[in-house]
Amino acid sequence: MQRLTVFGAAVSVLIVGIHQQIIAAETLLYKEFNLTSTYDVKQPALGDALHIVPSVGMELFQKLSNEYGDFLTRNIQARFTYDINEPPADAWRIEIHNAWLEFTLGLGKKLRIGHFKPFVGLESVEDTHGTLVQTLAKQSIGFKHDWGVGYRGLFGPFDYHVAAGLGNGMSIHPYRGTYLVSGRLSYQINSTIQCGLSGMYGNVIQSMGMATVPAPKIIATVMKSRGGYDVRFNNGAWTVKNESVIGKNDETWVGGMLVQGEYVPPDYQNIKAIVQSSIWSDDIYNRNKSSMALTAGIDYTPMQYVTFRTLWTSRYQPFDEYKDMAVAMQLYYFGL
Amino acid sequence: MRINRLNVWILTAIMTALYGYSLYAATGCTLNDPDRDVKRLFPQSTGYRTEFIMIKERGGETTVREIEQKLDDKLDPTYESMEVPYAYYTVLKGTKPIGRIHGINQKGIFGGMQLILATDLDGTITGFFYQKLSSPDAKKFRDKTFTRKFVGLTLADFYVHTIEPGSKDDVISGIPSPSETYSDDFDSTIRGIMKNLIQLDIFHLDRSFDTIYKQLKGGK
Repeated sequence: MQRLTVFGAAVSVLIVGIHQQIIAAETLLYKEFNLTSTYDVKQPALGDALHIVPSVGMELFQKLSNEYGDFLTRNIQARFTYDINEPPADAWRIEIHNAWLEFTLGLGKKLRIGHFKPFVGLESVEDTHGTLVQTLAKQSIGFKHDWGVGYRGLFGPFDYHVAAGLGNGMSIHPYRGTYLVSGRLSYQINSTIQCGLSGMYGNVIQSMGMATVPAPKIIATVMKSRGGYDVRFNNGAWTVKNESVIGKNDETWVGGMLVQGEYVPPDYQNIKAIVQSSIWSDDIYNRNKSSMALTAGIDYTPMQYVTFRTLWTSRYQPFDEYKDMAVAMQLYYFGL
Repeated sequence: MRINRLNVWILTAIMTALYGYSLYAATGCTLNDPDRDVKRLFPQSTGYRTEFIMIKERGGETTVREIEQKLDDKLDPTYESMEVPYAYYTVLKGTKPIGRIHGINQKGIFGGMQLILATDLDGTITGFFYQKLSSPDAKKFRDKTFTRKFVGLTLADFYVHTIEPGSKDDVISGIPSPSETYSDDFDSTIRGIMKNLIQLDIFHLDRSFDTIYKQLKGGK
C-alpha cells in the first residue's frame, strides 16, 4: 500500500509537471466499431487463433507542446470485445492495445513508457490493429504489445529502437520474473523499399486470450530468443511484405517466414486484394510441429471511415494430416 | 471471471484520461517520420510543433466553397471531407519559427498520393516530396530534378497558372511532366500542391495571397 502511495505521488508530480509546460495540446480521438463473423470448418481451432471478435473501441492521440516544440505524445487505444463463444457473463473483455507516453528528448530522440509494440519484426511497423490479416508476431512472441520502456534514435541513415519490457503482453502479471528486451535497426533503401533487422530476448508469459481485463490465463513462462529481418516493397499498384524469424523457445529451435502481396486496382482504388503465405514451426527439427497457412482477403472501402473485409484462410500441417479452413467477414469503422 | 486488481487500476486510469475529450475525425496526412523529415528539410532546426486542423473547425462549408473557388475544382466529399485532419508542423530554431511542413492526400492514377511541402514563413516553397506515390513511374516523379522545379514557387504562381494559363507569367506551364504515359499524375500533383498552398494561406498566412487572386480575377 505504501509503495502504491509513493507511486501515485510520483505520477501526480509528473502529470502536474507536464501540464505546467503545455502551451498547446493537439488531440485526435477516433471511434472504432468492429463487427465480425467467423466460420470455421473445424471449430474452434483456427477461428480462435485468428482472434476475430466483435468490438467497440477508441484511440486517443495527443501531442503536447511548449515554446521549444512538441515534448510529449500520448496514445491510448482500447477496445471492449464480446466473444459469442463464451457464456454471456464471461463474454465481455477489455483490451488495451496502446497506452503510452513518448517524451521528445531532442530531434530524433524519443523515450517511450507504457504499453506498446516490442521493436521486433514486421509487426513493429505495420498497423494490424483493425485488419484480419496479421503478421507472425503472435506466433513468434506470443503477443503484440508489452508494458515497458523504449527508446528511438537516429544513427546516420538508420533508425534504431530498443525496448525493455515486462514480457507480460496485454496484462500486467507482477512477481513472475518475466522480462523482454527487443531492438530493431531499420533503413529506408529508397522511397519504395524499407527493411529492418531485429531481435529479442526474454522470459515471457504465454497466455490464453488477448484481454487486459480480465487477465488472461497464464499457461507458462518461456525463455525466448529471436532474430530476423523484415522488408516492405511498393511498386505502383503492388506492395510486397516479407519477414523471417528464427530463434529458441527454451532449448527448442523455432522459426517462421511470411510473404504477403497486396494489390490495389488503379480503376477501383477502394478495393485491396491481399494474399499471404506463411510457415511456422514450433520445433524446426520436428516436422510434425510445423504448419503452413495460405490466406486471401479483399478489403473494400465504400466510404472514408468504413471498410468491409473478407478473408479465407487455410492451415495445413503436412505431417500430421491436420487441415483446417476458416472464412471471416468484418465490417470495420474507424473515424467519426 | 478472474479480475487482476492491478489491471483494473490501469483501466480506470486510462478511462479517466479519456474522459472529457470530444470525438474527432479521420485519417489525414501526417509525416511518417517527422523528426527525420524536419532535420532533412530544415537542417538548422531544433524542434517542431504539431498542429491538426480540420476545415470543419475553420469555417466549415464556407471554407470548402472558398477552397473550391480558388482551386477551380470540387473537393471530393469522401476523401477531402471537412473532417480530414491536416497536420501542420511549425519548425523551430530554439523558440523561433523558421518554416513549416504540411501535407495533403491527393488521388492519383494508381492510388492515393501524399504530397509534402516545406515552406518558409511567407509561404514560399523550400522543399517538396512525395511521401506516398503508387505509380510505375514513381522514380521519375520522385527524382529531384523534377521536385526541385517547385522550389521558390508560391501560391501566386498557381493562381496565375489557373486564371491565366499560358501567359508569360505562368511559370508552372513550363514545368514538363516527368512521365508521358502517366501525365494524369502530374496534373494531380499540380492540383494537390495548389490545394496544399491554398489551405496554408487560409489557416496560417491570414489569406495574404488574396490580393493577387483578386487582381487576377479582376483582370479577367
